[in-house]
Amino acid sequence: MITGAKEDARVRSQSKAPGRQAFSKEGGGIIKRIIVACGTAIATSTHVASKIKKALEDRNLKVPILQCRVSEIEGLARDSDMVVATTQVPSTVRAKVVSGLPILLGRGDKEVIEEIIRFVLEK
Amino acid sequence: MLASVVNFLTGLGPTVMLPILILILGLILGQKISEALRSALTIGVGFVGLNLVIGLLIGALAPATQALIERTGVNLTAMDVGWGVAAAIAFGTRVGALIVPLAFGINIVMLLTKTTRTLNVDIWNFWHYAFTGSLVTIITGSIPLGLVAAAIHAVVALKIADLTGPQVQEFFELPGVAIPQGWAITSVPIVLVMNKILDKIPGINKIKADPETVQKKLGVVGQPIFLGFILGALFGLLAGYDITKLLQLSVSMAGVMLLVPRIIAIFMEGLVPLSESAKAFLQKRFGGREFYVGLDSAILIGHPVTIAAGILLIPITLGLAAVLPGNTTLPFADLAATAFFVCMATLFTRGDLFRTTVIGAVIMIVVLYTSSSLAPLITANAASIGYQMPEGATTITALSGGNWIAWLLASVAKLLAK
Repeated sequence: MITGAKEDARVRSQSKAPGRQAFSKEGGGIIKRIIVACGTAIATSTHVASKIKKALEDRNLKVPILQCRVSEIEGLARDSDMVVATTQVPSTVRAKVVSGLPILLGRGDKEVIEEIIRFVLEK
Repeated sequence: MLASVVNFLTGLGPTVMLPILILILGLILGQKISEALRSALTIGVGFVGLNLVIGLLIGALAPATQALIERTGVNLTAMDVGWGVAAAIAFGTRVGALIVPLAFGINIVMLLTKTTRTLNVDIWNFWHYAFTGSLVTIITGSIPLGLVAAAIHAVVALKIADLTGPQVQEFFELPGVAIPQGWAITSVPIVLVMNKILDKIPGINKIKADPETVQKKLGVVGQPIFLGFILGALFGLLAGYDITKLLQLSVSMAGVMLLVPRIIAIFMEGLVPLSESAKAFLQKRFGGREFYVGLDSAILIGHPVTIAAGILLIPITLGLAAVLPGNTTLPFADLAATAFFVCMATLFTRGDLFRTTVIGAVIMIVVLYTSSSLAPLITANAASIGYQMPEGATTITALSGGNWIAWLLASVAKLLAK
């Protein structure tokens, strides 16, 4: 718990808006997560999430993938997460956001996957 | 021969029939056996899970609906089980079993003959076409007629996707995308007519509403788990439940709202490899051509006006259901998906929240009447694949099944069957 609180404070001081309680609920630990969001958290996000999961498995990378509705990103995303969305994301979300549409379209999907992998590999 | 094969397959029930067909399709499209088998089994497992949640849904909602009807005298006998269940029922029917090759075949022929510019890769939403076809089959007893009806729905969907594609691409900034989603396309004519009517009313453009405020103030209502809880409490209150039963119903309903979609996601997972192979197959053959890629209307749902109008439509839809004479639909599960009903309205009103909400209310009137009218057929369809409703109880329906193309074709089928 104590180390968690320390990490918590460290991350908060790095974040763009100091004082924002990005970690208040989940507690400590900066585990990177990928949040895949769409209108329902079921259809298109499942499609995109399974493609990402497969790409990560192929490279032996383990990162938690969460699925949610776009309206839930605000409450769910921490600054350290990456949000992959198939639809518009509220401008107030401060985590890194990439569009998951290329994955659905099958055009430019490799680039998006690469970007996600880069995010996962970053320290 | 073919008939006996079809009979054998349908006799197996959807938990076995669909996996077999998905396996065959996957192999035809060049998947590895292990991959095809995995997605086939995942679909079967999705159905098994669905049996569980349907039991939960009906078990909790049916007695409450019954009590609500007896106590208040409203005639809302058709429970809205939502798009997940409606889709699974549609896929589980005989027409549903054949919908993937049918809809793809039609799409390929139309691309070859240049009668469409849209390549529809949104396999999940083929359920809408299967839904329409399955209603016609249950009325006429004929699978070919059901397939014709499903084909008509699929063709109209591609044509409307062609027409609306350029606006979708420009307004939502989605290059190369079109929306052939089976329900969304049926809302386009309603939206266009209503928008013209609203143009004639002076002062209407002066009414401004702010989507951000709506989302901030009421956003919590739009989250399925809270929506389920609130609706459970509301139904319990109207049914005259004591506090214990009321709270139990509320938590059960919250559970249903959260669990049904989770199960449907398993279903989706099974469809992803098929959708991917089909996309690869078609893009290899039509790769050089400029075409729109047909996607799920879910990709439009993130627009702030759509989200805000969707939230406002929850109480509006409940109110309409209570006061519209002749309506029998008790809105429930699809109230978590109200944004879907206005995604095309946002497009044609150019993001005007007031107009979108007004048009949304008109759309919901059409939806409520169609879903009420189709309820007995949907219930019969559910029974035909093994989901029996409790004795003497209510019927089931889904707001997402409330599209006028299904209604129109079902009405024609009724005339033919006479």
